[in-house]
Amino acid sequence: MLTGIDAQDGARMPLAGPDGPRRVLVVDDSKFARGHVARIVAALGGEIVGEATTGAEAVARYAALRPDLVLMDITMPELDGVGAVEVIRRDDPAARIVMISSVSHQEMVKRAVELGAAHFLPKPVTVDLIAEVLADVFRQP
Amino acid sequence: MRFAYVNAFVESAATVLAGVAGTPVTRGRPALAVQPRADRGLAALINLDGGVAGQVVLDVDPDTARRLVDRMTGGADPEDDELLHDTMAELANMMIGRAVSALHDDGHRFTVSPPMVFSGGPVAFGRGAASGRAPFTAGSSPAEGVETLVLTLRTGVGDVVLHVSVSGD
Repeated sequence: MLTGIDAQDGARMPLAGPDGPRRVLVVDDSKFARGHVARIVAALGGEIVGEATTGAEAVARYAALRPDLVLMDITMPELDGVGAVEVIRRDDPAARIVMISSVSHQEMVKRAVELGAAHFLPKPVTVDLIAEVLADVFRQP
Repeated sequence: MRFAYVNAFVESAATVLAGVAGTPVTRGRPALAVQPRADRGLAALINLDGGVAGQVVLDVDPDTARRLVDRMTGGADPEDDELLHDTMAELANMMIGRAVSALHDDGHRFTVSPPMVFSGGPVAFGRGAASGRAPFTAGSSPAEGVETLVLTLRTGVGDVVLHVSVSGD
């Protein structure tokens, strides 16, 4: 499912930052989804510094790790991904968070973006799509 | 059964399955059943409740499930049952996700349960019971008299049988 990884070149490594690999927190209650996203992050030159399985855990891990990027699922126990975005961005308005979810209706996307999510990707995600979005995210000041 | 709703789920499922399996998906002849019933060995159930209510079930045999997991994970341990179940749950989420999004955008308001994965079987779903395992509340069961569409989605790595039993406002 990692379509396009083999075809990428050095110019398509948005997580290979100027000072080394960008540090990424992956948040999803699915073991499969965390593994899938982790492989994409590695292929794009990034480093997984932590994982979380609930929104509440994501908030705690973000505060402790201060990653460069959060890749966040929405439907999770305890606190969902949209709620976690609200808490994280309140604490750190510069936090870069990209939502990844099976369900992506307009109301949900609008809410996440209003709260500060940088982008919203529907599952299943591909390396090409994430690469394009992250290149844009890291172009922003 | 509202065929517009059913069709939304079928289209969503076929599109996503083709992407994750990496093969074309062809559709078998649709059939109607009284309720979803999984008998291939591994099933993922999602309940819908609200303006669109009912159940969507994926039914696959374990070998097909392992081949799908292999495609989706890029070669994970095929004997990792936890990963197998987790991946089937995520596949079910993804396969209905587009339909859920489209129906929400059309104004329907409903909730979607986390997927439940069952191994073994056969398992019958509906009316508050599942082969004596009874993991459901009455409110999550399809309405009395709502038929189930059963459709086989054929991929290059095996068949996935989709059961859709939904009604709505």
